[in-house]
Amino acid sequence: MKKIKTRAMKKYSIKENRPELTKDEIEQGMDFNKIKSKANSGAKVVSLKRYVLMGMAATVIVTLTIFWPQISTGDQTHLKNEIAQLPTNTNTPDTFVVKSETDTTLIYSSGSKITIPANAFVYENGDPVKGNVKINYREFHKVSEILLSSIPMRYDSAGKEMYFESAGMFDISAQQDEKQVFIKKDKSLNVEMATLDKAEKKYNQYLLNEKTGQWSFIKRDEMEVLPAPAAPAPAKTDSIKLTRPVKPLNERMFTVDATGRPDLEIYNNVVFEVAKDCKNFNVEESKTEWGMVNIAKLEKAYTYKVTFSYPMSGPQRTYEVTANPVKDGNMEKALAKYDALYDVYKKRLNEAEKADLAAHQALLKEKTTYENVFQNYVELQRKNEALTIKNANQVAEATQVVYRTFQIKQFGIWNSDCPQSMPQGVEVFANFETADGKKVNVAGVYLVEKGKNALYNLYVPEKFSFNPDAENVLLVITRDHKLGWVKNNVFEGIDKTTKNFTFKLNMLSKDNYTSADIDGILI
Amino acid sequence: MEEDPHLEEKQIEEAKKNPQSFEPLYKKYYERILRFVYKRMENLDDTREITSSVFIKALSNISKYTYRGHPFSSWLYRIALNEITQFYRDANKMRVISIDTYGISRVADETGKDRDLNPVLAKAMQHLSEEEVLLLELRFFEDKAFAEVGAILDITENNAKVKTYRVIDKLREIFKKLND
Repeated sequence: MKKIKTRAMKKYSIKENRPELTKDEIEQGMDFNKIKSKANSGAKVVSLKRYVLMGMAATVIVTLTIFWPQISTGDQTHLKNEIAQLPTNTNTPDTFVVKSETDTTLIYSSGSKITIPANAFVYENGDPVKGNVKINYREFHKVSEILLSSIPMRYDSAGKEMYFESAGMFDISAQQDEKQVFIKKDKSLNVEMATLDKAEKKYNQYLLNEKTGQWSFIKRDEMEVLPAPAAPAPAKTDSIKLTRPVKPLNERMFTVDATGRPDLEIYNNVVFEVAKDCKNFNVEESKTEWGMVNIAKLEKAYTYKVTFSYPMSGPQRTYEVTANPVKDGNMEKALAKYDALYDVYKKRLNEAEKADLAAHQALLKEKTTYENVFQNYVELQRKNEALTIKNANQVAEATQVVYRTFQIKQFGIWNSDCPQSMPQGVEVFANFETADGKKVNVAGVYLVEKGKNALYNLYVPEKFSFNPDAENVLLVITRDHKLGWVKNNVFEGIDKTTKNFTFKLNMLSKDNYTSADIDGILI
Repeated sequence: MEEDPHLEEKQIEEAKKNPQSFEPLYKKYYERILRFVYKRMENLDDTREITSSVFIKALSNISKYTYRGHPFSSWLYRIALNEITQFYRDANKMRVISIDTYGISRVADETGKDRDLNPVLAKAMQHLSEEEVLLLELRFFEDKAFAEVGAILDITENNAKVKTYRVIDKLREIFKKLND
């Protein structure tokens, strides 16, 4: 074995963790025409260093004419995915067809409004567009949607790397016969984007340069807060009939544990029963213990869509039923009292029919009493429903609709954001493993602070900092297209004295995860 | 819509007849070659110049290129390495090596060392030959499969594997000596 001297002459200049080239740096210098002409002319490629070696005092600079590459930007697909392993099921745009010659207002599914003046479109050469134009529009609001969109959220603020906390983002483009169209110079489109966050004044408007991946500040955010929509009136009941309510079967009934779920508090102490006409009802699934539930009110009175997910055993799946609130403790008592009185009434009625009229009249008085009790029972049920609606309205009022208005003079990706510094506080040298100790090859690692609509892309995941006072979640995308995560309780075990830390990831079993899956992790 | 698996071959054949048809290949590989060169250069100006040289040479010699089952990119990388070698010969400067935390951790795993390898690896690499450094770069810092490493260096896949593991063995020995 050759002896190795421990001190070698320095042959190489070693550079550690150099910053990646930006899109702008990459695209400057791209000039196919120059390449073609030099290759055609058979020109000898001369390194400028050769001139230096020839002893020339001043360096001869071969100047390449630099101009922006003529890359077609007809759609968003040339925006390089930061992480190639992301599933491709990102939210697809809605397409509207408008007549170029008329004023048009479009309403998106979120309630956002797009106002387009007549004759607003031109071709690339400036000629006016006539006839039908397709407008493509989509929005990104949640961290999960932003992650899957692959839209970069880094912002260069005077040389400092910042990340955007987003109040909402939209992507708008227009085509006619597959050709991109533009907005005429003296026109603008008005986009009132509906967002569900707090009406804070800290946001600005930015536009993405899709060639360079850099955001440009446009102006301060303009916002308008609108009241929540009115609650539906409770349904009126029919005239009271002396009929005994049907007793529900146990396997169809369930209650909801609202611990840690403020949005479900209104359903605490409410007993639900799977609706009789629910085709999805499954006895086995009704015996399963579920980790998560979501409840949504349906249009039909007293009817809810209940979705169960994250079962405590068995494969990952969801189970959805329609259900009605049945009774709470008070109604139970009212029912019991009604039952008791009804039995008494029935018995004594039979006896009274055999007895005299006075006794019969006395019994009629008792009938009035149990009718009142039944009325109370129905009223209690109605009050319970009204309380549910009232509480739901209170929740709606807390998440008011904030409209952010953009006057856009060009199509593209627009954002309402507040730049944030990278989290600081505790630095950690990280390794990533599965729960059973297998090393995870990561493709992308993202840090999320709950309560902040920001997604920090950790480009060097082996070494990063986090804020120990925040509630942190790490989302990890592996090289084999899987999604893993680590919740805040793990971060609580890391302090400033910790140097190396191995994150044991929870892994999602499915490949094509959606924003709903990521939302479930971030709850 | 699925991309035609033979599209690149067709583009190459077209480029042999008409230089303008080389443009899609230029656009497809420009960024990759630029990044590849930048890892080995001190600054962006030199990087851009070398990258342009790569594509000029590629287009000038496209008629000599024959598809042998390796991607076209391997051929471009080989041209790039030649241009870089020529540059350093002429400039009489120290060859730049770019290392990052991810690649260092991979080298650490292979050599059975701690992840905290940064200062030791930088010293150890000074004892390696140009070819040995290249093998480390391609395999651990640029995550290339052995087949591609072989295609770039014009050796067989097996040969690339054997040579890489010899470099790892050598590094282990160097680490031992540096610790002594």
